[in-house]
Amino acid sequence: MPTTINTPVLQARQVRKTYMRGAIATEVLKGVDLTVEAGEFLSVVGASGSGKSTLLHLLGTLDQADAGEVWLDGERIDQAGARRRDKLRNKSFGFIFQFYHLLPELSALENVLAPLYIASSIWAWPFRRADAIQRARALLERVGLGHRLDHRPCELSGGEMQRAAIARALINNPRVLLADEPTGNLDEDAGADIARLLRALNTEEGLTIIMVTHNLEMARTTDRVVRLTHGRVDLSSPIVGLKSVGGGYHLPHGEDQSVHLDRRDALLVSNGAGSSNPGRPEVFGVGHLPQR
Amino acid sequence: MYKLILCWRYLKTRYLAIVCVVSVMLGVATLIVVNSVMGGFSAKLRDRLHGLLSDVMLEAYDFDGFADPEGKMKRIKDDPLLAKEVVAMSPTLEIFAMLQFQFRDTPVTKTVRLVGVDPASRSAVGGFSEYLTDPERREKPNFQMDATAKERFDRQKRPEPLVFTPLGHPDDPPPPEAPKPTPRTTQGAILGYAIAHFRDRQARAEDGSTRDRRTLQPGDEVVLTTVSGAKLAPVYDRFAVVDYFKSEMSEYDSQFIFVPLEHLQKLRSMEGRVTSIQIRLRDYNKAPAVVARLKELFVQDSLDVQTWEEKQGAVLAAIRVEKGILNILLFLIIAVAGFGILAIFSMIVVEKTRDIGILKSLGASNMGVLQIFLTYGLLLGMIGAGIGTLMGLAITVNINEIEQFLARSTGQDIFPRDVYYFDRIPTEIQPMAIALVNLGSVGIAVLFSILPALRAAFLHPVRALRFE
Repeated sequence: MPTTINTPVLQARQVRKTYMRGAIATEVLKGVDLTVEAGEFLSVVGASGSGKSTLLHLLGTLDQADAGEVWLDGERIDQAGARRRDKLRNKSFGFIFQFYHLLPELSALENVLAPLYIASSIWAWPFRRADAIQRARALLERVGLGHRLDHRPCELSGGEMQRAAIARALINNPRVLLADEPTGNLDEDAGADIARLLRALNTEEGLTIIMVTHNLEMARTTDRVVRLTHGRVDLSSPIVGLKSVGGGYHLPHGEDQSVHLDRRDALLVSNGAGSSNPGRPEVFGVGHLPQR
Repeated sequence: MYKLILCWRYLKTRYLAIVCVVSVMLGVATLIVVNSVMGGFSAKLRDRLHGLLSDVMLEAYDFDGFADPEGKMKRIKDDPLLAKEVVAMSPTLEIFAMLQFQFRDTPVTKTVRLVGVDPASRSAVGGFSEYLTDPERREKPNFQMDATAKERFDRQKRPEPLVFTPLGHPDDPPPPEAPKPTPRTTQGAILGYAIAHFRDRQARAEDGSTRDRRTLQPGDEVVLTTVSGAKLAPVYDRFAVVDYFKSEMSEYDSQFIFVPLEHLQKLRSMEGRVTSIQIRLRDYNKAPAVVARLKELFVQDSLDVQTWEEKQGAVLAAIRVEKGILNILLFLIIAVAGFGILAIFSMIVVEKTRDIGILKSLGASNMGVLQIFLTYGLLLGMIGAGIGTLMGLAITVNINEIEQFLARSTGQDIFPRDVYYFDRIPTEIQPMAIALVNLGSVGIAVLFSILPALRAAFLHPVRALRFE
């Protein structure tokens, strides 16, 4: 049982997932433990095929694990019924994707409203409409897209589309924002903008964010980095390319920004089944913890 | 909520969907036009089949007929139920006969059905006087020749036989007076229009309609040969053509000849006997009850009681079967449209795979996605059916103009008027049939969208999102 330091929002316990490609079974996740705390900005890194997107999908109930458990606010959600999971995706999780995934037939504003459309019956909608539109506008203002409300996705730039996607993910005040390579398809400037926006949402509004990325630069800006290697949380090369410096850890690049970490800052000690040496505590994530 | 919005947006942006709409539209329009025209033809045919026949008829089984029609009619009048329902009755005497006449010095022979009628009462029963070609006779049906017919008749009078007086001795007593020729008292006959005319396909009137050539003028003489009552011995007499009747039902117009009832009775030496009593009802819907009552009343007399529909049962059934089969075949058109919808919908689902994944990631349920595509099918079906109905009605209403235009521009006769006896394509718009066609086509549109919709509904969200 992983020990937690703060209130956990989202937990994965020994999550396993195998994909069948024809007769060949590929075990993508081989027992992953992860605990995410409220207000945390966590990044998951790893090589292509390491299973980081799969982990994100399992956390967000887009997919179901073969074994293991996923808990959200003390509720086990991986075994929940289809209806409950639909509701969780609608209300408790916000997704953003590498390719934005906006609905091409709808304007930016309507895309942001889409989760509300889905949650609302045709009879209830007229009563909610005004509030909903106001909130969607406010969110689009917040992400800096207040001037392009009625544009179709095809009329927006990549960065703008991703902002619209973020606004859409936030419309229902989700518990956790799940971001799958949010800057993967953007140029450097636009990517940095998105990174800044996410950071700001996290610090200013306390939004919990789990971000899958292979951009270590970007991972470095987050509170905590988890590295997945071959379907496991990787601890051997200690942290996501973080170098061990005098018993502590710091992020690999940019000495000026390096965060010096102590062993005490290492999160989550586990001796779960995934460990090669049961009984030996394993560090599976390191990050700088906010002051308690 | 999103379902409707997305359906509507998909409808507006997918041009492929227009193909579905068009295919449903064409199917519905075709069905409506064909149904209306078929309905028109069959209504007209029914009308004509009814034509000469009265609502209900009381018939003898053999040519000898039955005696005392007046007594029987009195019994009908005395029956409380029948007295209320029967409006008019007329005794008639019907028999096969052979018609002979001269046309351009060639003898012509035709087999016909000879009907002896009492013009006044037969007209009251309906289906007789209104078909006569002479307007005056329509008002006051009779078998008298009018002035021109009489003149022609007299002109064609056969020369009186020459009286040959042999030269005898002056002392001989004078030869006996030759008998004075008796004035000809020929009876009138009303001929079916097609008996006395033929359609000349070569000779066209200026307006394009075919012209009929007349072979027998009013006043011409014809010979009718038939058989006598009980003994079935051949009998014949001369009749003068006085008028024609044109019911536009070729079976009747080419076979029936009406002559005065009493004369036919005398000719066939069956005075006071007739073969049937024609009955007109106040309300035809009551016919079954009337038939049952009549059967009860004349159970002793071995008489056959039939409505006109029963008498023409085979033909009416054939029309019904024809219409039913045609409808089934035409519905296959809509089924074809259904397969079009299936194919196009499957394409749209593939095209929209990513969107389906997005919707699911935003919390749309499988059911919701299913409903999007079912609603989409419903919408396409309804729009197609709606436009198709309007189109079908427009074509039906203007079918004669369209036919003329097509005939003019292609030089092909689409509706040959000499085959039928009417000049316009008859149509009958049946609201019930239109409602059924609409319902059926919308149903098929939804039915065929079920498969793609199910496919969409059960797409795995992650795989859908990753779909390239």
